[in-house]
Amino acid sequence: MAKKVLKSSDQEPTIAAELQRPAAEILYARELAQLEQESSSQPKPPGWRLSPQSVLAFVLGDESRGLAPKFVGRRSFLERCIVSLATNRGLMLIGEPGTAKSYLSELIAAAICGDSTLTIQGSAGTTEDNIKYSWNYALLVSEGPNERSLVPAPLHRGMTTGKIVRFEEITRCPLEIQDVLLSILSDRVMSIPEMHDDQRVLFAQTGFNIIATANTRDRGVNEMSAALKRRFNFETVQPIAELKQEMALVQQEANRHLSRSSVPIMLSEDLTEVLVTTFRELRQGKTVDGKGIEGVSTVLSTAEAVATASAAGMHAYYYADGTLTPSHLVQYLVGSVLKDNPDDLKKVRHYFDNVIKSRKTGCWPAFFQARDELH
Amino acid sequence: MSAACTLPFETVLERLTDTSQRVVYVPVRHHSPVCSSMVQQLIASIKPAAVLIEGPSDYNQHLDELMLDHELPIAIYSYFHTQDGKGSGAYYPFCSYSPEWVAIQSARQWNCPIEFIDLPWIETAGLDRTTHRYADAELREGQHVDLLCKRMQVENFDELWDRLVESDWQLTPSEFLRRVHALCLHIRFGDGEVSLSDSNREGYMRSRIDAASNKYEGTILVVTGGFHSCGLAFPGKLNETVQKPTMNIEPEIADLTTEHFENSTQIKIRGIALTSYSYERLDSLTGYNSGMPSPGFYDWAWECRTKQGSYTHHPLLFKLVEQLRKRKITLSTADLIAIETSSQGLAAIRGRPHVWRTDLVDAVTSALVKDEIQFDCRSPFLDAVHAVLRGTRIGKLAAGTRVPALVVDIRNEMENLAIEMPRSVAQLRVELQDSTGIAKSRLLHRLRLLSVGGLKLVGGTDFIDRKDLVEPCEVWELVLSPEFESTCIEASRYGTTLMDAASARLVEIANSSELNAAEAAKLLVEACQAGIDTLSADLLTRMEALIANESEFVVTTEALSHLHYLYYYDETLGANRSGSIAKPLADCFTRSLWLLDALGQRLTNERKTIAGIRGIQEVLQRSSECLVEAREDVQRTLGRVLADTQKHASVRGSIAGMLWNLGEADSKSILAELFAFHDPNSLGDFLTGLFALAREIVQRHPQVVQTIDQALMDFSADRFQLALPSMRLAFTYFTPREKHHMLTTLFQSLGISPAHRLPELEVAPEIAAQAMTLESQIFESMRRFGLEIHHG
Repeated sequence: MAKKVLKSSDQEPTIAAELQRPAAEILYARELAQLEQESSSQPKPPGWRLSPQSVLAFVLGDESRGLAPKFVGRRSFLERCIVSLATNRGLMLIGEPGTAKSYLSELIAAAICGDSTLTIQGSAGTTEDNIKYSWNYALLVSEGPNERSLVPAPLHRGMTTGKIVRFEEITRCPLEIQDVLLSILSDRVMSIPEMHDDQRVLFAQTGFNIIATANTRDRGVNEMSAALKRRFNFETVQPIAELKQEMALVQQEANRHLSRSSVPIMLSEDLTEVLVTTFRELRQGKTVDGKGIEGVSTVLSTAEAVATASAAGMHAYYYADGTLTPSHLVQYLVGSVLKDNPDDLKKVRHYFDNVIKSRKTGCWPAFFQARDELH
Repeated sequence: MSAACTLPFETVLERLTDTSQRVVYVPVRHHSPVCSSMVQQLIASIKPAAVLIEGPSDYNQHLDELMLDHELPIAIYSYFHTQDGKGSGAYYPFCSYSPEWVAIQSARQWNCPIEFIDLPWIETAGLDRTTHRYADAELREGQHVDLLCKRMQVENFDELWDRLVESDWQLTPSEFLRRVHALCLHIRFGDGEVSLSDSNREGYMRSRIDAASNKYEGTILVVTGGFHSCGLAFPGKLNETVQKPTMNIEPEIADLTTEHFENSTQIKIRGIALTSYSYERLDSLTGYNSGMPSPGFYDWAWECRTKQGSYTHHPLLFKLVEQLRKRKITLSTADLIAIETSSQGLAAIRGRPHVWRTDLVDAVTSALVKDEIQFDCRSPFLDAVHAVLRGTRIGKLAAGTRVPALVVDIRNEMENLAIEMPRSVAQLRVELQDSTGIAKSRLLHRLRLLSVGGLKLVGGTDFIDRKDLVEPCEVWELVLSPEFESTCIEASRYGTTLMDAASARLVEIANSSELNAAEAAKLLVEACQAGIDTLSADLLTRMEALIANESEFVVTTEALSHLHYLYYYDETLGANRSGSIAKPLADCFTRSLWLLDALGQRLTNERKTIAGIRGIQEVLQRSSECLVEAREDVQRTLGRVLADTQKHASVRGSIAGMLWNLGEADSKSILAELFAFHDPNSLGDFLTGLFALAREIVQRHPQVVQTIDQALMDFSADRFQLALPSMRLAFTYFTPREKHHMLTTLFQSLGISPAHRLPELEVAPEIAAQAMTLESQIFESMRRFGLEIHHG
């Protein structure tokens, strides 16, 4: 049920305009400042810049206070996420790829500590150095281990400054690297054995916590150690529940992408309906009227739908007469669907012949006519 | 909000909240503890001259029954059955914390007269199918609720209600009246639609209120669902788009109203009685029937409010731990601490001073669930927490409560046959060879048809699959469960005697749309089991139509086998050679032949198709007297199927077997057919069919075995590999001994030395002696009747 919702462009400060992708705390600096002021008198967990209620208002938006909605999801789900971060456990966001887990973690980190950049990107090659700290060897040789020669990684910085650290795709890391977090999450200390005396132990400042994300497709959370699981509260980020909400989001995002790339093409409502309905039906394995169909194994997330629409738009602009037609969508649908399983394309063809064929309104007939592109 | 009132909103609200008025309207949400508490306080402070309650007015004469010593939850059950077989029942459930229940009890305490003022269910049933009469679907819908949920930052109406009313511990009656009236006014006028049944009901309620105002001096307190309060207080003054009850009704709506509403001559049975209820049932209601969720939780909230004066969620946590341990789920102390801190945190972020229902659910989700949760899917932890919130309370009626006629009849019948429902689960074995046994079995089957709780058929003869027919008996598991009585009471909607009710239920099942021919035939078997001998014309007509429209060969032949069993073999159920079964049997046979003719190259279920063809053969052999087709016609059809190269090989094989078995074809023609199947792809299939139908004959004909042998020897290695799987399947029809016999026959005809002898069967001497005695008895009696056996 999740995906990013974009803010109105008028509140983008000038600094953001020059960046390719400004961080949430820069993009929403005005809102965050307003909320910080509003929550100054409210009770807050120690080390937090905003009260939990304000964090919630920031993410979900509040019209009456001029806060743009940024994420589509159930309120109770977000309440649980925020409360988890105020307890002594970390927050683990799991879900299908493309459900905006990382984006949500960015928003929450920006709201709680005003900094979403303390990010560790998990991968098969992630080492302890990337997580905790490493050394500037020139200084290490000349001065020995001290604060100057130590190069802090995001976790070290988060603990020192009492901020939220984001750990992306944690399950992509080797298990022993994941388990580095064990003592840090339970005792909230990091030992630095190379240092002297009282600097050997780094105590986390209040406000420090970890938001980890993991997708359930490539390597699930099953392999994670039980000890680490215990130190996290798990929350599943669901795909957007409402067709209408997803349509609005895809249309808005695709148009934003296109306008950023200086392509003067807009995704019409009819085309959005066709695209989003197709993605949802193939994802859920059932049609909007509840008939069961064979779903595809590839992930068809909201983010994929946006990418498909913007790619189709660019194609229409550069290589066709500048009108985005259903046939462009079908061409790029192939690319989204056909990743690793050749059977998926068969299923899509079957879906066209059996489901789409019978739809006679809007762009559906033209969409069906373009089925020859599915090869 | 576009409050479409002709009066200013504030004026309306002021009138509604003014407790000094002659008629005071108390808006409640059914099953809300806070509403109950407010009703209690208002009755104590106003001391009204009469209390009018939203409840079925046809129950008014029995109100004293509610004062008996019942264990709650119980429900008033209102039911009716029409001449044309339509029946329905509706519930008015009461928990200890239901506002209606509390109103009754408090009014009695202050000696106020009480009256139920709602229309009887029978008069609204035509328009409103909601069978849970204390549901609150009308409150849950509409733009206003959506908007308010957004504004109040909650997810749905239940949480909105919790936030506005239920979790506010400091709520005073006047503030309560203001909040709930305002909420309901907005909901009602936000969308401006009041259903015809609601306006009918409100019209009636108003007339009762007027009557009470004339009868009593002093304040009249009217306790109804909040949605109705404003409609009752301002009849005609609120500019809502009410569909007027009797004027300008659309034709189809008019039809609906007459269905049960005016044409009461159609009603065969109607009644109203108390029945026991349970929290589980209350919580499982969904859709239009849904009401307040989590009865166990609100029960606790009510207890806190009335007995302790303060609320704590800790006992619920203890129950959760118990529940998890019962389900063998480990919960560490650290986990429990995490649940407690998370729930406190969630309550705080939601602006509540104490941990409420959803906080607990969310805390468990957050702290315990470590897997992906699919949207709206279950997890063992969530199941446990929901079980705690649901509660386990099961109601019990006080001894001596009036029960409907059906329950009396059931009690009498059971007493006559000396069947007693035991307190703990016990088995009852019923022998079906004597008349008492059959009578008992019929009684139990009738109860089973009516879905009466506490009895289960666990063993014995299976008349549907026809197993263990040698010594027909049945084993039932009986227990006097709380649902036994309540389900008996609820079955009253079908009739006043057990026999009537069971037949009516049978007709109802027969008329359900999902039935196919095989299920209808099964139903016929069940009818015989229940001893409903006057098989209603309805069921047979329906059966006829189903058979005529059935397009699946397999389903039709399944029906055929049920019908043929009843017609030919049955000795226990009393259906043997019954004329009423002969007609559907003949119809079903005709239809089966027709569908056999239409079978194509591909079969959906080969095994069942062959079994179906065997069923056709059986009818031909045993019950040809009731068939409409002449023998030659059948033979012609079969010949056509056999010759049809478009048919699946196993179908053709079966037909060949049948013709051979029936003596309509000789071994020569069969061997000729066999030659035609030299294709390795179809040989096995053909034989499968042939063996299934003509198992006995095949073994005795060495040529068949020889021909098969020859066909196989002609195959190249590749072709043999191709044929092998289906050949193996074909030969599974024979027992090892039969296979050995065939092999010996083959070896002899080929002049090869005989195969190894099979090991002798190990049989205890006494069993062998028994078998031999039995055999000699059989031969003796056969001789006596002139039936000689010719060996070879």
